[in-house]
Amino acid sequence: MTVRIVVCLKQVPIPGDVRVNEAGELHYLTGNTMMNLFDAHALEGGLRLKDDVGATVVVLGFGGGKVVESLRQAVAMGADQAVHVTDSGCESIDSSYTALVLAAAIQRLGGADLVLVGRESTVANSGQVGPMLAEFLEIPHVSAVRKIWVENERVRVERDLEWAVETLDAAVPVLCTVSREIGEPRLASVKGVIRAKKTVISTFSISDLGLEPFRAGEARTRIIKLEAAPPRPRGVLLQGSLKEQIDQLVKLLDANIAMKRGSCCGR
Amino acid sequence: MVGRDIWIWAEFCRNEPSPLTLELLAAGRFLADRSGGRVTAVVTGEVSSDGAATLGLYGADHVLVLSHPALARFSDEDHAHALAAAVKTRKPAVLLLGASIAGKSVAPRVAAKLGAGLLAECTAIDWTAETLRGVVPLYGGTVLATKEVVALPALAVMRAKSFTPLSPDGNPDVTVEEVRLAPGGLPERVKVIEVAVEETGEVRLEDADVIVSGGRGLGRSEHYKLVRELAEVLGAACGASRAIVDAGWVPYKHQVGQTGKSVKPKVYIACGISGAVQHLAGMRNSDIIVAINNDVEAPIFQLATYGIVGDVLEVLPALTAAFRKRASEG
Repeated sequence: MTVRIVVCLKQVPIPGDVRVNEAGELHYLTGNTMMNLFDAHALEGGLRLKDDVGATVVVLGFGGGKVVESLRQAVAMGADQAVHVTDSGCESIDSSYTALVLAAAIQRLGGADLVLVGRESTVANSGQVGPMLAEFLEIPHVSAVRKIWVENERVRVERDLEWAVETLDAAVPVLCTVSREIGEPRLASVKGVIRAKKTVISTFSISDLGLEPFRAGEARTRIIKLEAAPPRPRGVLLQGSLKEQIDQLVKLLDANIAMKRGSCCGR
Repeated sequence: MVGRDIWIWAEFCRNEPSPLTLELLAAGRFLADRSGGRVTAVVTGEVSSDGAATLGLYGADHVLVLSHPALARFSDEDHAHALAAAVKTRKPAVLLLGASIAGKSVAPRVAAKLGAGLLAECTAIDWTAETLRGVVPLYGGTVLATKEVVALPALAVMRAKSFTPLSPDGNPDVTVEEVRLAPGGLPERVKVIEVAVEETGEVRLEDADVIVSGGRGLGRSEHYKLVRELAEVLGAACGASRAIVDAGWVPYKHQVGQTGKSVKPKVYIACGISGAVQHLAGMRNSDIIVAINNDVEAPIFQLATYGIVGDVLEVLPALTAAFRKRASEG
């Protein structure tokens, strides 16, 4: 059996690019975007399985035209097929709807043995889409996975909880949200870049998937306001000799450091 | 009809509620006082009588234990399944979970099962106009979104250090209600086959009041020991920038930042960290930030409460010695 892997990719603004003005409107300083970092690790996880057990890796991106950049990058890195689900013209800010669309696209593609997504995006760090997608696909999921093995239609994974490392086992299909420790994303090869340029990226519209366009009014949550995080008060650079600076700092921190060893949590 | 009760999903480590669970109890108490409901701590799995009593002391009016052999260990789908079924039956107004790996995994699945609204990664919450509102940081914490759940029940995932645990003077004889789930009542599609508990003796970043963090300015991996030495003296956790995690100097679990951990200690001491946007995203909410760097133009100084411009290899040992001296003087 060739393992069929679908990796979901999200395109995100580059760090530090987004600001909000006093009217609560978002502004993008450059408009440049990149593949969400955790998604790049999910892709690397899929490509390593392809190297090891001969998997087919399909990358799936939902959103505006910019996500196509990530899909081509993924093909250049070694993905076999790329699929773009175009959004319906409105900015999708609803994780549940995104998960619903990805689930419909994966079903339309004939399903997957393994669905890989980054453990969270750098937009909100919420990590909602993966578990929601698993629920809509009616498959189990494991979060924050750092190692994956696939053999005889079973998946074994290792993941880090705060106080333990767990090893889990399941029959396919399974969805994993992938952590950084799975490995550094590989660079695209020259051959891969040439292939990516020639690759035709399949496109689904929302209606192709039998879904209704996202309507903000139907979302389960709504944004009341957006504002800039309050600036931190301007700090001070300590002056004087090194000893004088150290003495000042120790005095300044005196009330805030209890100077006792904290307890470590273990399960 | 949805009630007015506030539920919190309780997580335990070594039979004690996790620090984040105590914070959730404070958040639950705050909301319940405003909604007019009571606070139920929901345990999926088992809880000792001491553990349940602790939940009572820190703010729970009631402890609901959903027990099943498959819940003895953490499997994402089974715990979400059990929790969602209980929410569906008993209809609390709000379910709060912590932004732990488990909480962030369970909450979205429960929300999807119930078709409920979820406010993820909240740093503040309130009960306003008969519903749940929360403040959610976006784009590395530079933008704050105030969001509202449209219909109840509402779910929220709370970041660590968003609420301070209450004084433990609540009810030690809290009522504990155990519901044994029917055999076969959970999906049980993923088996946990091994749990390796890490006994490192280290203070965890999420729980720490003080964090000493190192970056590329340390020069070489051996120099990270200077960070460890100061952390040891201060009883602090050890953090790291992405650069030195990528370089293999320290494990990923120490990484602070947008693709690492978000932290909110009382004191964050950044040693040889220039302050890339991604790093600042993870520590900008620390109460006091101390920056030690030889480049006065480094972005970290824009955020620092106190800055020392100097060679971190000289400053760190001197600082460690000064704090050690202070500790010995009592």
